[in-house]
Amino acid sequence: MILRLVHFFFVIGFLFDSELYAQNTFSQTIDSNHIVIGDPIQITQSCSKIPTTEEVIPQLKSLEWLQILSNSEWILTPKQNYERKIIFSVYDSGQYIIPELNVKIDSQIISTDSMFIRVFLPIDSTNNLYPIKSILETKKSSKLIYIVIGSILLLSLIVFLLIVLFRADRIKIRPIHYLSQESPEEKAIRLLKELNEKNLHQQGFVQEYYDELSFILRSFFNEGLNLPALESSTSDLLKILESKPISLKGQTKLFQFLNLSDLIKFANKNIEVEQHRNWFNFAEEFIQSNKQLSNEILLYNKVDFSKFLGKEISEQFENPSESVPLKLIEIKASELTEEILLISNFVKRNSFVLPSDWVNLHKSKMGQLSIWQLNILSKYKGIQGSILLLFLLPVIAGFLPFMLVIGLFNKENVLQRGVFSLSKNNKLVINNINL
Amino acid sequence: MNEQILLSKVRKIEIKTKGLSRHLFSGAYRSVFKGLGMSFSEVREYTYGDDVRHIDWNVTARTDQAYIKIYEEERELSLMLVIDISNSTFFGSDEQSKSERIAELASVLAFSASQNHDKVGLLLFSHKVHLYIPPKKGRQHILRIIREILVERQDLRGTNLQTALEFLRGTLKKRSICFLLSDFHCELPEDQLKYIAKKHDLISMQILDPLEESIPSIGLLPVKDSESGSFALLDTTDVKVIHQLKNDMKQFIQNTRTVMLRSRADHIQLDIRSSYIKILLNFFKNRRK
Repeated sequence: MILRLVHFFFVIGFLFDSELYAQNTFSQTIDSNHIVIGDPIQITQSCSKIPTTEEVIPQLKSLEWLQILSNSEWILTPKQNYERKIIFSVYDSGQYIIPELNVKIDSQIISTDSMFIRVFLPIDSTNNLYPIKSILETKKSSKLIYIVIGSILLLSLIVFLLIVLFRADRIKIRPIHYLSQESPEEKAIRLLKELNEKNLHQQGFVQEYYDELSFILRSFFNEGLNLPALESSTSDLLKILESKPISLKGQTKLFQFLNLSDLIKFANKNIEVEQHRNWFNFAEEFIQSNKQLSNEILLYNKVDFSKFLGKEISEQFENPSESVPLKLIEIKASELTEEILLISNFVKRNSFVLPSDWVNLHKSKMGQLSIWQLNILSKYKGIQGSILLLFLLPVIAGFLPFMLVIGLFNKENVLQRGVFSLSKNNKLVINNINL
Repeated sequence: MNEQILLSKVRKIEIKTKGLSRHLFSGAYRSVFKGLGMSFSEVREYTYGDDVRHIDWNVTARTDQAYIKIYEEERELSLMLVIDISNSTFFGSDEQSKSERIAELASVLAFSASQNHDKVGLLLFSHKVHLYIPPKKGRQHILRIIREILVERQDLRGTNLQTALEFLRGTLKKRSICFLLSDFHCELPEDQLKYIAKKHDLISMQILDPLEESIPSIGLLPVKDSESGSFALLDTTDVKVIHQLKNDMKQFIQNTRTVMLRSRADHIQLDIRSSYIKILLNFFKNRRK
């Protein structure tokens, strides 16, 4: 029994002992066996436990043909192994063997495998030397041509600018071709036709029918006879008409109609169906019979510069009796006036006084170049402005192509002048193209 | 003012301006003051050229015919009429006074807004806020607004635009179109104007009488400041005095215009003798650009 127990413990002890020793491992690998003299080689050592004493490095250092360049500390890898790297080099050609190294871990001595290294001489590339080539001469790139082309371009741009800035606000007066506009009676007849085609009263829309019919007649009054009929009540209109030296054909019947349409529109008055057509015919007749008067009034009320702006301001224009363009009439909202400066002969300033709204329109139409010229000449009066403009010419000429391209993108003409220009006699004329 | 006269005045203004707003200003107003977005209106059968992105796939699947969605502008805008009823607006050298012209203009704008199914509100002010009517729809509401503008009020001393704009700032929360109608014979609160113009669409209308701009030479003329009550004797034959007055007025108009434009508000100047139709139409036309 005792013998059996002793045997059992012996077996258990042996097993534990061997298990304990089996845990410690040490291995090393080399990254290359063939190197050129002086090339670094790396040995990677890994072990399950850090060796008790450092014996590998001294053993390696004892090898005379080998020189250790660096060695790292032991680091714990994710696989729970310890690892370190030793980099060394060999400075003589030949074949070498790193002998087996003994490592002591927990009193267990582990021997590594020996490693073979072959060291070659580097290839000597100087054996095949070729004679050095003589220096080839290349043609010198001549910048002169570019300078000449650039100068010609710049010069032509300066000349172009000079012409543009010299002419400045002066233009040649071209004959104006007026587009035929619809006269007030033509417009009224057209609107009557359109009303007839709508068949409003036939569909029962009597109020709308009389509303439109009276509006057509009131518009004719407004545009053709120059009376404020649109914003006046019927009685006001009658008063206005009585105060004017105008005798309209069918005036009494017209006011009968306007009063009747007021009653239909605002008091829901009912009238006989036949009367709708009669009033329509009357409206047509009224417009036709007062056509002559309308033309006379329009001619009388023709808005020319002298009538629209007064004698003092209109005399600045080349032709004060010329009709004022509709856009200029529409845009004039206040009586305020402002000074406007027009340039001719490069630096000559011509000052005029015009309604502020017109001056603002003029400025809004001016291109960047015209604005610069005007600003320089208004800020620096006399010779200063001229000299500054002359000095700036080459700079502006250099930038002109870029300005033109930017203007193209922004859909604006950088060379454009304003609405008002100068005639040969230094008087104001309208530049219809810019208007 | 007798109630009957007042009502006939209101009716007369309605008759005068309703046609104008229907025929001339309604379309212009609609195209200038756009709504806030688009809302679904109806579906209709797809025709060649319609945008395929608008196809209503649900209806198309149900009916086996391609249908597209039609959208319409979502309006529901508010028009706020901010009107100066101070004593200076009761001056008029023609048949109409400035206040009557203001009432007519307000009526045109209100009816144009009404034609486009927009709400109209009113704020009357002089040295203080006299009346505030919140924006609402309907003909009766607009007639009430015209009536309120025309009715005679007591205690109209100076003009304090600052108070009116402060009140508007506190009351009007939703973005609105604000028409400010006044002769602007007061200090212009630029900060408040800037704020209102930024938050709302502010359009100022300066209504003046031609006599304010140029006084004819008629000898010694006793003049009274309708707001402060002070008297003065003006020698209209003195060229220097007339010239000075003219220049001051010019400066005043220019200054008002500059302040309004600086505050990013649109500005229109009207005089009570000339027609406002062209000026308003031009304003709408220019705004559309």
